[in-house]
Amino acid sequence: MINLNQSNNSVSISSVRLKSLFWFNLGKNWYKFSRNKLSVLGLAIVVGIILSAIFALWITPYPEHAGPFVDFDNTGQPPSLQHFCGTDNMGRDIFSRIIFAFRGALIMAVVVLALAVPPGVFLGLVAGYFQNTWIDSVIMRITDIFISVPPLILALAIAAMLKPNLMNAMIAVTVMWWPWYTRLVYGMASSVRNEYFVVATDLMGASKFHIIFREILPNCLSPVFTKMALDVGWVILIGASLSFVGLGEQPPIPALGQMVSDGSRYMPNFWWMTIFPALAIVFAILGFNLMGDGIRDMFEKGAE
Amino acid sequence: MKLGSFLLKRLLFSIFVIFGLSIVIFVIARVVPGDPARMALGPRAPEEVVQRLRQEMYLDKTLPVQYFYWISGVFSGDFGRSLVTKRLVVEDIKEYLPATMELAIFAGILMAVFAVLLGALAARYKDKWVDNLIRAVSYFGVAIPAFVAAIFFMLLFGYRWPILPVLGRLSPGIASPVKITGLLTLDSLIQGNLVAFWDAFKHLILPSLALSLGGLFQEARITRSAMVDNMRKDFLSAERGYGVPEKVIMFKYLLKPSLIPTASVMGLDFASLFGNAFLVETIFNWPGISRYGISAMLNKDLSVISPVIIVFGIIFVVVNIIVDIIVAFLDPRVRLSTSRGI
Repeated sequence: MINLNQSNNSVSISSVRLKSLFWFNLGKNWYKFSRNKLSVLGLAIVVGIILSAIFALWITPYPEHAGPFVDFDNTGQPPSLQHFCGTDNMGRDIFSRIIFAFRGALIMAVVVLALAVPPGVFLGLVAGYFQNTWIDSVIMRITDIFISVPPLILALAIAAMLKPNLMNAMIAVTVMWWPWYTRLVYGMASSVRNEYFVVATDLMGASKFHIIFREILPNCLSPVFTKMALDVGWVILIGASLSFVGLGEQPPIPALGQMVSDGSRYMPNFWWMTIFPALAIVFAILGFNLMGDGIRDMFEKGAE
Repeated sequence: MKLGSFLLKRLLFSIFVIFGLSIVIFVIARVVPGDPARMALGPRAPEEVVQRLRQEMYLDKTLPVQYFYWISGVFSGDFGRSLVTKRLVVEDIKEYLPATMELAIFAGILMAVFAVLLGALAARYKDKWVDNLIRAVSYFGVAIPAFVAAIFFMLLFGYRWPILPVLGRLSPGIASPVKITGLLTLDSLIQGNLVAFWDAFKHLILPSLALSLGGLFQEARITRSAMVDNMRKDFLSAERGYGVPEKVIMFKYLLKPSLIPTASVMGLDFASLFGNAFLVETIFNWPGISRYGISAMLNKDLSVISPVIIVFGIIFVVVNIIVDIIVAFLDPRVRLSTSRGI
């Protein structure tokens, strides 16, 4: 009975501690984050992109151009006050299409990370807890196999075998993404597992479930969050690469890579059809990378 | 651990990984909806022809049996024929692989040289304008996808200021050197054909630059921060105290240990370079295995996709072994440790 109570106590303490760590340190965290002005710039870019993607319908000058729209009188117009980034070969406003294309890119980043991180973290935890047993070997060797090819190649192959659309592109990237989290968490978990507080909980008779999720997991979270923040830019990059070869969102729905690829057929005379979507990709990735660096600084222990 | 047994262990592990990769690819290729035989022949082919191809491809057998036929073919160097072009996949790979290797090796050299150079410069002049400039450019360099860089380069140096060729490996008027290694620059040098060498070299610059950009700046940042960290270490003060010349300190005692993290990341970057080659080769019309692979992917040519991916898997594990050797050379702790496994 005493043992049970003890472990219940430690449950409440560890979960309360986790929440309070974030909220009570908000000011300190913001200080750490904002110390690097570039991180703040990144955050501003990210917030701008997210808001413009959500409110695309209201802020873009020609929302109807982000779909099956043709205006042959206005094809290939250079950038002007009416069309900030010019028009494409169908006479559609490129600026409006870029803003709408951010939607697909953001959805992809969110869905891929939401689907890939939990199983990746779970497998890493399990392998780390059962280290040096057959469970560890099986999980980590499978992880090694998936990491043995650059993610883009296998994602391209999987996306190509399926029907080309955003959904399948997300599946393809997700399949390639979890092993990196497994490997990251495995390293953390297998060292935390041997710490005295875990051994003590084990001796008190806590269940495996409790040890893995209540004791080991909270200690592995900050590198996971950091990696997620840094990964958003990578997912957008891979998504753009997939849609560049036609394996993402299908026309007439705009996607950044697809717009670059379509526009490149009209180079060099209609340079704006390619350059502006390409710059939008760079801009988005840059924003997320800068923000990710700030989040890493925030979570990094000993960074004062 | 002796280097020999270390290598042997790594080699066995690599064989296991490639073997596992072949299973993964095979399973993915077979579980996706759609009949490969039907896809190869098109919707209008008569049913009996499709049926015959199915038998030829062992598609009527169970999955493990299919895999057995396929993998035993792979081990005897027979990857089968392309479903679309009907050519032998092995012949195609032999033809296209050297072009990609040439591009990747050149990009890898660019990456290694400039990453170390820029990183060392930035660390040497820490917080001066050189450092700030390199760091600012690095942020952009990391954020530019290879295919975007390729398009920028093409637009700028191919069309706006046409100073470099942007398509293919050789200009139309120039005869290709006799194939020895398949690497045009190397072959033309061996044969003393300087005209072809110069032309092939010029064709290499833009694609390899586009490929190396992302990794280059990432590694420059890593080199810089490793050097800055090591600068604060006591052993450097001690050496200064002994009167070791600043140049010797810089190169022998500061740069060498600072390259350990760079070398590990460089291995990963060099491998992901092959991934980006898929897009860059398409843009520059580079007749390499990546362009070959991507056209197979877009044609859903399953009998080409799997071997191409396995070839990349093999390249990847070989690169990893080489990186491990380099790291062992740079880091005595790894070289001398006896407990370190794979």
